[in-house]
Amino acid sequence: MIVAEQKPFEEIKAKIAKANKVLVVGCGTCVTVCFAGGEKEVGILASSLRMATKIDGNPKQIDEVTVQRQCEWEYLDTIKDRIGEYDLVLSLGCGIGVQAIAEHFPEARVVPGLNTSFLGLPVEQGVWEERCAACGNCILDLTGGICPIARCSKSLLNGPCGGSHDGKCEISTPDRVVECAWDLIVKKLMARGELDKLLEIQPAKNWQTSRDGGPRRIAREDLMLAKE
Amino acid sequence: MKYLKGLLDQIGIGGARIEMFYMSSAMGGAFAEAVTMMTERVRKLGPNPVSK
Amino acid sequence: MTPHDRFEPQLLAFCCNFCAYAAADLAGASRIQYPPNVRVVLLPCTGKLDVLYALKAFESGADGIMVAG
Ligand code: SF4
Ligand code: SF4
Repeated sequence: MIVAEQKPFEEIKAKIAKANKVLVVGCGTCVTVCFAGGEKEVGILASSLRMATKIDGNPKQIDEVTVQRQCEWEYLDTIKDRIGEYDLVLSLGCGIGVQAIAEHFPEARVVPGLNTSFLGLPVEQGVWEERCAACGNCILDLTGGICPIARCSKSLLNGPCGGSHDGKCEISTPDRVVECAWDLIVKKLMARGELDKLLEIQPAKNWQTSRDGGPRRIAREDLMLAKE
Repeated sequence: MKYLKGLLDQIGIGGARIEMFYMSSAMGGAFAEAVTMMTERVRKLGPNPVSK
Repeated sequence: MTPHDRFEPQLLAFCCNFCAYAAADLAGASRIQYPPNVRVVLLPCTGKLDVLYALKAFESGADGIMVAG
């Protein structure tokens, strides 16, 4: 899922400083399950902003709404009658949600309340880690189900590099220990008796399927509505 | 509780305005003491800045 | 300051049904004096307390909050 994190309170406060009527829009999908922009976070942030702006002597009307998914027109239509009443929309969706609001409601001024961080999962309660970089050409079958694109700091295809030390990546610091993805891959394949898989050298990856090929698009004729 | 106090500090209300107390059902005196303590503390802090 | 112009804070006490609420009850029943500034809200357990309850209380003008369990 998409993992995001709320921006610092002061930054959000500064972003809405000039507005008088603000609608805080949450999203009920990815950012709800990573506790960044669901109905509850919307409630806490809106209430906090109402009080903080009042204490600062600059009270605002700050209302709340959470849609099931900010990144689909159909769900955004549920707020189309309300959105015009506000001079600012504070989106607690991921970057896709923010852009969807801006695109679907061209009149609306929308600001992001979250920093969209990565594609990942919760490894334990309250801790999220990156797992996929959406490279557009998945090779997880070669690497024991561990992604070297997203989880190796250098995105090596034939790792590990010489910086791998005791299972830790060389970018590790005392405050931030990063597991070496290639150490994980080697150990996993070793345990399975498939280490010979790594004897085959992987050729340079074609990054055109990734961001290097420019913005990506998928169009499926089988799903598209027939045009007259 | 730590998160909430931090949040209240950020808003400008002040984390000191909320406190957690532990007591058993047999501690009527402790309840009265806690209320007295909080009343004194909040009296010093003055009114909630939000309601001004 | 005379007792009349001194600031009387409005406190809200979120109490667990089984401990603090009973303690408050006992304080009343045994005539222990405590300031009249507190309003008690009963929760089935203080685990039910939500950040939003506290924020709403402050937003509605509470001067202080006690969570007792
Ligand atoms: S190989 Fe590419 S698609 Fe597969 S998990 Fe890694 S980044 Fe994602
Ligand atoms: S130490 Fe491991 S994870 Fe870090 S860059 Fe080298 S191979 Fe990649």
